[in-house]
Amino acid sequence: MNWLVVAYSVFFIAIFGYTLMMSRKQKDLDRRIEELRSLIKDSNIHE
Amino acid sequence: MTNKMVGVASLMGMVTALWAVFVYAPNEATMGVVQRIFYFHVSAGMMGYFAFFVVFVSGIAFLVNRDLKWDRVARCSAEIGVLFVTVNIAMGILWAKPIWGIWWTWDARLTLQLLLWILFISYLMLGAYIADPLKRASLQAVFGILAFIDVPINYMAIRWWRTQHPSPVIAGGTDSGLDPDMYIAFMITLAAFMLLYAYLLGHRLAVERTREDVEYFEQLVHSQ
Repeated sequence: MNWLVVAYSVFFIAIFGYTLMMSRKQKDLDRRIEELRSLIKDSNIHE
Repeated sequence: MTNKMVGVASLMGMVTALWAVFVYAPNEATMGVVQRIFYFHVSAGMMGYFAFFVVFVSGIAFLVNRDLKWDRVARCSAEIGVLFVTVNIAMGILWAKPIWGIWWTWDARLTLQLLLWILFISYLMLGAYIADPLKRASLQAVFGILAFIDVPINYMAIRWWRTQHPSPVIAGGTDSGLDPDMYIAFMITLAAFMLLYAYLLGHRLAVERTREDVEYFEQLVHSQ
């Protein structure tokens, strides 16, 4: 039974860990894009 | 259908798969409860193969069309494939110890699976070291196509050679097979894994598109 619990824990930790990592990365990139957009707007650079 | 809806469907699929594995499927006579690792272990392996098949097809599409969108799909799918194969190997090790008495053995199936994992880790590392997008995409496409050759050999390994790893119970010929209830539980799990792959790929592609946008805006700012 212990082996079964460990095996399924490994699966869910890996999947949730990866999803969480992707969500954090997405948030960081969204924040960076907003910074760059406002920088472009302030300095009148054409997209 | 938005990726969030695919995510919800995948979550519901996972809950159903857990019910199928732990409630619906019967106990296996010789291995007992630990055999229930089978459902997620095999599904993760199969989805890993499918993810690398997507790398293979996208690689060919990129080499034919020179369109970087195929390169993006290939790289994202390779990352998810590595995740699935990592889980497959880890669950296999945790199944092997109580049943075989050993964590690992260098038989054809296990060795080829480890090789596949190393090949696609190398594929991802290769991408990190080349700055020029077209050069990187071309090299990765060729590498991905060649690395995929391991998949059919690995699939056939337990059919061609006598291995410590068990013979196939699905599509394995007349002497093989699964209990009908186990087969249904396995199919439910596999369907849940397909939804999970679709969700993860959609999520990873969205991150990659945003990263490309950031690169574009940074170049725009630095060019002024």
